[in-house]
Amino acid sequence: MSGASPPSPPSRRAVVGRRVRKVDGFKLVTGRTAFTDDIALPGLLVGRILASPHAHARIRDIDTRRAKALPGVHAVLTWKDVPRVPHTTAGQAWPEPSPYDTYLLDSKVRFVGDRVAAVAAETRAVAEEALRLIEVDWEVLPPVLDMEHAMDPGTAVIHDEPDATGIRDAARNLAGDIHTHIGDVEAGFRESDLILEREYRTPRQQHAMLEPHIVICWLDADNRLVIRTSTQIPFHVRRQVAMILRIPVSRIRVIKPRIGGGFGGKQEMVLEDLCAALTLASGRPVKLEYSRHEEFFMARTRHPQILRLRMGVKRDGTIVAHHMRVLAATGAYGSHCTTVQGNTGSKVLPLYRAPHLRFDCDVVYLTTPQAGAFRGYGCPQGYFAQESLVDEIAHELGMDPIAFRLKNAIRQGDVDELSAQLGEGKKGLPRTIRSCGLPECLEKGAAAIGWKEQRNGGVRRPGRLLRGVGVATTMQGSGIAGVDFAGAFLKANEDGSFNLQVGATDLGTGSDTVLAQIAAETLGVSLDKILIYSSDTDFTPFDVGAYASSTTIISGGAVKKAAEKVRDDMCCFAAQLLDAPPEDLVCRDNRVFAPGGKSVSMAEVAVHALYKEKTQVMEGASHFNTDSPPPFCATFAEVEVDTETGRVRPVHLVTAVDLGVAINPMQAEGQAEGAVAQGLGYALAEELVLDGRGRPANANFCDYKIFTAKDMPKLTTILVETEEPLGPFGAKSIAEVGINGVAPAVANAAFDATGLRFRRLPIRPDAVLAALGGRR
Amino acid sequence: MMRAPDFRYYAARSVRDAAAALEDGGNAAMLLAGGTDLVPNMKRRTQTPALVIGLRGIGELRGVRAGGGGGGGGGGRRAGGLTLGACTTLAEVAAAPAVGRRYRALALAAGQVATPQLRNMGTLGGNLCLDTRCTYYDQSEEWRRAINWCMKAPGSNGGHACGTPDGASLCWVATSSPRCWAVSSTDTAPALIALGATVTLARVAGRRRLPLEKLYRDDGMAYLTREPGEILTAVHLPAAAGWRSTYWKLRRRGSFDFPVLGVAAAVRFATGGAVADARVVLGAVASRPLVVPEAATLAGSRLTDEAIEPVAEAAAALATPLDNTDFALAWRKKMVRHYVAGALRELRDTPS
Repeated sequence: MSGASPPSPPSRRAVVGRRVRKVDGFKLVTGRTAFTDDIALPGLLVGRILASPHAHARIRDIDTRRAKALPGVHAVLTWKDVPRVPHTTAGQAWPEPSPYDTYLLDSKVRFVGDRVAAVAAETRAVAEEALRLIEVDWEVLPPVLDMEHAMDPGTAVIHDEPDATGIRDAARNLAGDIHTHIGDVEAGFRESDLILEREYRTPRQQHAMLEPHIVICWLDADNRLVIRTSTQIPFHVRRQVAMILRIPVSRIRVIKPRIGGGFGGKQEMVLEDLCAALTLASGRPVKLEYSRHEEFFMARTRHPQILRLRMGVKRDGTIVAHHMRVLAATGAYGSHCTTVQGNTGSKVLPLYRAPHLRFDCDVVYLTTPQAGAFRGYGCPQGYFAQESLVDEIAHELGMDPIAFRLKNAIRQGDVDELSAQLGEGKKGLPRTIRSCGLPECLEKGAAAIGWKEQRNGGVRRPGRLLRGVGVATTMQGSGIAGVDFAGAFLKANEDGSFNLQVGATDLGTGSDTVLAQIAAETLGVSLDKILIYSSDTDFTPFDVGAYASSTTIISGGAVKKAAEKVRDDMCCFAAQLLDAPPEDLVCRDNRVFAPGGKSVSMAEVAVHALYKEKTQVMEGASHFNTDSPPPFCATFAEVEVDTETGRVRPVHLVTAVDLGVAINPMQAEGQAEGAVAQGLGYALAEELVLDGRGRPANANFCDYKIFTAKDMPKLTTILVETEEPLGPFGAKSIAEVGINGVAPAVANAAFDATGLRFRRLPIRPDAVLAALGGRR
Repeated sequence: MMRAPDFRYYAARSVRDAAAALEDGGNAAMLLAGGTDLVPNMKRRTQTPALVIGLRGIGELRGVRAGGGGGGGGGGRRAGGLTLGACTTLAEVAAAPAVGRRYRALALAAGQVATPQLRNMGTLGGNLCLDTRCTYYDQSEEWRRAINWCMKAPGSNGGHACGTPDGASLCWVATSSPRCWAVSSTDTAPALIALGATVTLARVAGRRRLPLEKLYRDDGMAYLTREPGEILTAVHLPAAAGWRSTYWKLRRRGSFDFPVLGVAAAVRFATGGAVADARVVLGAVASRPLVVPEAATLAGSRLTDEAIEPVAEAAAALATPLDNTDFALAWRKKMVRHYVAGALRELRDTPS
């Protein structure tokens, strides 16, 4: 077949690199039916979960007779009624690297909000009345709420069940641990002129996505189980539900409509298993959804961590050794426990090319809400610590923080060997830096924030309002090297349009638009000719799902390959019409051109193929990478600290990000801005608070403080484009990297303003005021 | 999504009609104006009226009129001042030129309640009667059942979850306390008290008028002195000649949040620039708005920092924040001093 058109230079691209509107924007802003809940099914039952009121307890007995007898109740399930299959809810490629420590329903509860029983009834009111009629005989066990004491001898054992697998040391509540190194840090410290060791603490953050978890299940006419769900991982869900309910994969169809946000919270099978079980038990369609209140503590959170970092440097600012020790809490179950924490090491430490690196990490169980995947996936914690420490060291050395970072940062051509040791649950692959725009990010970001003019220097000046600026440099990945893969399928229609079917999941990221742009550009057609559909396990090819900043590079890679095949097919048929060799033809503007300028429309080619040649042009392709090219980011913050109240007000946030080539700059900027909003919440306000019994105290949008439009500072987003050889059209990723640097940039700016370091998130005004000396 | 329980709704046509319905309904009846406080509480089952009497259709309860200020102590009738219908929305109050010009503290307070959408629905009377708030109270029914309730919302069938102490007669904020410590969270009440407002309460048997300050009680449960069958119908402001006022609100975010501290300050300057009269009222640091008596010591001063400091100090001593709202309580108490001093300095430094 033809090699057809050579790669088009960026300036000639018609669709990629353009600020096109989202392909699904119109239906979203006009309120068309797009989401999981937007269907009406006859006979739909409402499912409700009886949540544990105790952080840690055993169910001695549970009596559901009164609930079952209530008119309108069609199913009541407890641990007695369902298969006991140890599994993880983490939406990860098989075999999942998370422990199998979770059960559909269990005779033990491990956090306030854990599943006790589930009911399906004709109305929500009846379902809730039924929950009240369930009688539970509790044996209340001691809660385990403090991660620093979770492994102490004599502490209650959270996972004492015999059938769990993959737990590092259940008797010590140790879910997983990681110990890895490069070189010899102790030798490195001996060579160092300055060593600093500091401790940092990060909170439990909640995803707070617009659409809570929701699932609707039914049995279709062939008695197959259909799961319509708001998920980032439809194919993992199919596999997990099949395993948990002991039914073949072939008997399950997962439909993923448009998702109303996820941020990693839906990289997890959260309600699908239980909703499916209720459908199987009742024979009726069932809807199961979390209320906003439930979403806060019955879904997932970011892992809280305590990080202790020790860094040794030469007098000239060269980093010699860095030892990071992390204690993290995974909550009641271990989904994503070692992979999130592995990232805290593998995507953070290698940013600086020290010869001696060491990473030690324990992840403990607590009787608290379950942690899981969350935008940044371990990096926001690690970067808050590392970028705060690096800033402090630069200050100690009298070096400009930007110069210090540039001196030590990883650069093009470098090979990061730590990644090879910290793959997802196994030995990974070394990471070669093929594109790096970090110096340009720092340069342009510094100019935008006014680095030279606005810097205060970390000294306390007189006056009530103090201003300062700070910086943080970060990176992330683009997919999981050697693990993430995706398929894409394209077919041609007689009007010159193409159906693009992908298993990728657009959760508000804009991936449907980006993937359609990649297909349109490759085929030489306008964006409106691409009809993208995502995703349905019956009709779209496999995709691991939307996570790890993978969709553009991995799913996009598959789309590009499939589109190239279809383009070649179209050229073969066009060659017959144009009387020219297929390899000389060029596709653009919805037409196929011969060298002399003669052309036919895509529609004519498609009609010819279909009705004359009796051939459906259709191609599929798969894609994966053995490397995960990091996007790089420099985040700058200007803050104002009120010395009378201790409040830290962000004034200006600059995000300069190397994302490879931006397939859609408008959407890329939106991703960066959204990451800043979520990062500011992490830095200054957001924390799921638990009381002394493990109960959430602020599980609602009134008391859990996400940043509002009124709280947002001035934002500047700068896209620094580099050409990444492994990405489609040179793209890397943008979804996660932008959140990593916000908290440390704010903390460093607060230092610049006051001379004080804040090492605990969120940075609270009472702590700031106390540090300022609480004058008067 | 949480949903309200079933209830009967009666759309009252007049104050008299509403009062009659309220009297008939007894304990099972509650009034609904904007609904922004009651409806969420119904969804959480902290307030579960069987009968909801809607005041929205009663025209006489809406609007801002000149006059009627009077003076609670029976001064000249209709001598200047301003009367605001209880069902005037907070957005209307904040935007009313007559309010903004002469009663700035009220415009600032009303304009900072919740969000624009809620201010378009929420009313002045509703904000004055706002239910007190508490970490242990403003929670879903399941959550409150799990802690075995509290004395402000003891649950419909009493507590029976085993393993937890009986909470239905407890205040979880201070477990040895015989009373409830839920927090008065109205923004407009401190402002109006500082401005010397009085209110009219109507019932079938007649009307009474009382200083707004007397509407409140320092009890998280029985926080209003409003009697069964009474409807708050109007707020009256005295003539404002010579007064300047302001309202400072402390909250975490620039929108949405209830106050964790409100400071209303009003000062009347005599000709010559000395203070003739001064009032400072605190919100959200007790179960009722707190008048700071020491503000009277400002009379005769020129609002110097030296004169302000003891008043700010006294206000901070008066405030009794507890651990049942956002932010650390010690910090909130510290903030009282800064906010009182800041509000008074603003009145000194802003030309009228």
